[in-house]
Amino acid sequence: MLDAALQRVREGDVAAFSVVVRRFERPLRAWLAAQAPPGVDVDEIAQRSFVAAYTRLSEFALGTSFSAWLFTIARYQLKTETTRLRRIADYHTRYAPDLLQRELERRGGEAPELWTTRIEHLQACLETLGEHLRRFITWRYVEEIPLEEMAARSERSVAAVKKQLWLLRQKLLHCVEARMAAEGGRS
Amino acid sequence: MNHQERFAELWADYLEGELDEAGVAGLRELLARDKALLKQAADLFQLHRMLGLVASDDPARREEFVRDTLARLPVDEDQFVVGVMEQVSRQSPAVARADVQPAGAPTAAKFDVKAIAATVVALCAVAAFGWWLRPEAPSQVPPVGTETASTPAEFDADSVRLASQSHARFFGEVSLPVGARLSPRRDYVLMNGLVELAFPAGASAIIEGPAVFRVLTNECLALDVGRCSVHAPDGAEGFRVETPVTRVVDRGTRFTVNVSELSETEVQVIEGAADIYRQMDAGRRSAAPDRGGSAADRTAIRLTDGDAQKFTHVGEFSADTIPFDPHTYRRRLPDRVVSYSATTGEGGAKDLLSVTVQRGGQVVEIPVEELIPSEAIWFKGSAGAYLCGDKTWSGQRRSAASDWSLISGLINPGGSEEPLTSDPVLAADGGTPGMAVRFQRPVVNGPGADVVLFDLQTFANPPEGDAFHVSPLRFREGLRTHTIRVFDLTIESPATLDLADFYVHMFKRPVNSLEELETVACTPQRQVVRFRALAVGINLSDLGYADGDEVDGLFFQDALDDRHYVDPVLVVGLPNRGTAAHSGRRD
Repeated sequence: MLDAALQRVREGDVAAFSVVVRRFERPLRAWLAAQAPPGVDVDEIAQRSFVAAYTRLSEFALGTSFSAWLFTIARYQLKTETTRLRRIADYHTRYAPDLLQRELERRGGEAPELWTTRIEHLQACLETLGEHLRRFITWRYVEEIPLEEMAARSERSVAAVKKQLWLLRQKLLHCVEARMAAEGGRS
Repeated sequence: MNHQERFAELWADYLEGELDEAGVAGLRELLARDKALLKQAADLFQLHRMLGLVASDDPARREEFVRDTLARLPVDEDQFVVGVMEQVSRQSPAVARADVQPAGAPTAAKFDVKAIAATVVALCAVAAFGWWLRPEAPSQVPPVGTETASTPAEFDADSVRLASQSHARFFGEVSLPVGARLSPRRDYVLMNGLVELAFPAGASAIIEGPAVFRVLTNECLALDVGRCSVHAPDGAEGFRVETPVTRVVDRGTRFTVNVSELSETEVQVIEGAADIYRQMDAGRRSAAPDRGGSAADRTAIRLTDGDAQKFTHVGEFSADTIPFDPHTYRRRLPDRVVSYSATTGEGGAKDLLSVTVQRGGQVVEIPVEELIPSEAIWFKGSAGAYLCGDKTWSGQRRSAASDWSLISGLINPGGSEEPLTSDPVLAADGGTPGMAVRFQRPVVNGPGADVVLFDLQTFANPPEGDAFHVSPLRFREGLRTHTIRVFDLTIESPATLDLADFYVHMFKRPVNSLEELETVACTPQRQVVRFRALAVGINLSDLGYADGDEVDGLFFQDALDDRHYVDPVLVVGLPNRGTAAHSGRRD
């Protein structure tokens, strides 16, 4: 079905490219989310990667791995953006210790499929949290409310909320790693 | 405090963006000293990113990403920076080809814009809307003179966005989602409806279909046919509209441009001033902006507020004064339901979470906790299916109308070709076909929508929604039935959500009351086609209620205009805005 869609795109059916985007948007965004250093807009890089793939589609050999081709494009898009950010004079002060960024770059060689698996494990781990804990994740990542608001809602201090988030992240990290290990994947 | 505790403290602040320079330096020092902490930091950062992704991982947002991506696909391969891909070829053998010359990218279908523009104008009726002005002091403008040479603003291909839209339909493509970036120098054919474009320097343009337009630069719009209302506030002076015969340059702040299918261009300045230049190659498609040379005559005609002229080029260029009509200017899109959000499961949206509406010109997102629920107090159906939702019901079937679910409710109420002019009869004997609802607390009439109705629709149904009548439960002098034929969010609207799977319950005989709804046998039938939830705002003023009037309930009937029936799965009242006193009547 993918090859058929790619062929239609080559023949001028722009709408057929939606098949490609829908097929790869989740794994691509998952991989970029894990690889992108602070300051990078993951969705922006993902969209640029799709646009680049569309524009150069005639160079892709049908029957070979489109996934590999697309992720190579995405690696380059990410590197371009990372380079641009690094050149901002105060990037490291504003965004990230350079050691962290280098460690993330070093991990860039991991297979993209692993991140789709990790996302699925993370979703499963989130469901094991009780509502009294999951609400902190919802507040932080869905509603994106400030810590002070979380503190007010949970009737705790801001320091206690920070500690709670720290513990939750550790718990989720260990949960994902355990599931990956059980599956035989790398943690 | 040991290293781990210190790291935990710094890391929490880092993720919240609260780490100052000293903190970043401290964090850097810790990571440099301890490889285990560095690994932990990288693990936690990747987890942090994944949590953000998981939080936004719902079908609606993913569909929005897909649409946004498709909207960025270039039509012309030359628009894409070839050098980026040449770099890819040098870096990766997997991608490299020996030939790194720009290859023929797949091209979108080309079409004859002028032919389509003429057809669009011929087939579609252009409605006139009236807008009231508040006179404001004119802004300071530079002296009239020749156009000053200026360096074209650096063009950011991705910076002009669709800010909002109302019933916008584009030729040959799906509607753009709000927030989508417009592709540069690409023709957009707006068949009908309205779109508002936001330009990065602050200018905005509301374009009314039928229209054909292009974004030339981040300060320049080309309009081949149609009408646009431009607002260029401080900082956005110099914004331009290129038409086939003119270049209109804003000198602050509001003006309209209307281009006919014969390229006659009418310019009306509402506030401030605008300079009009003649296009030297008039009659051809609107020229690209200056790149050192000029495609426009350098002598300007200056119009100030209250001026209106028509410019034509038939053999020779001419400019004629026309009557000034401030009502041609559109300050904003009409009040309407803008979008809604819902929980997701089983492939689509389920329970309503919030509704975003524009009321009295203000866009506000209202969470479900603030909406006013309703319950069905009367139901007399047409034929077939009257209930949708789960496969089985544990409580009363009528409660389907009272929950927040978009996939459960009472459907196919009866109808009438003629709108009601007197109180509906809510009794089994002689009851009026339709459905009556009562709100949990009165809905207060104010500017814009006061009630929102959601209708289940599939692609085999009318794309703009099923026409229905909405009537007062108790008529009095001045009150009337209002008929709605076009929903705010239609089946094509990007903000309309696909719904999760549900069952439709087929009843063995017509249902003539709520009691019969509870007792008549029915059989669940799983729906295999994809449904979407359309939404429309109901303004109680359209029923004749005065501002501040309180309304306890409403009556709904299908308009019987076709073989499709409205499926009002959810009817909610919008909360009182709090500023209007309850000085009105209560019905």
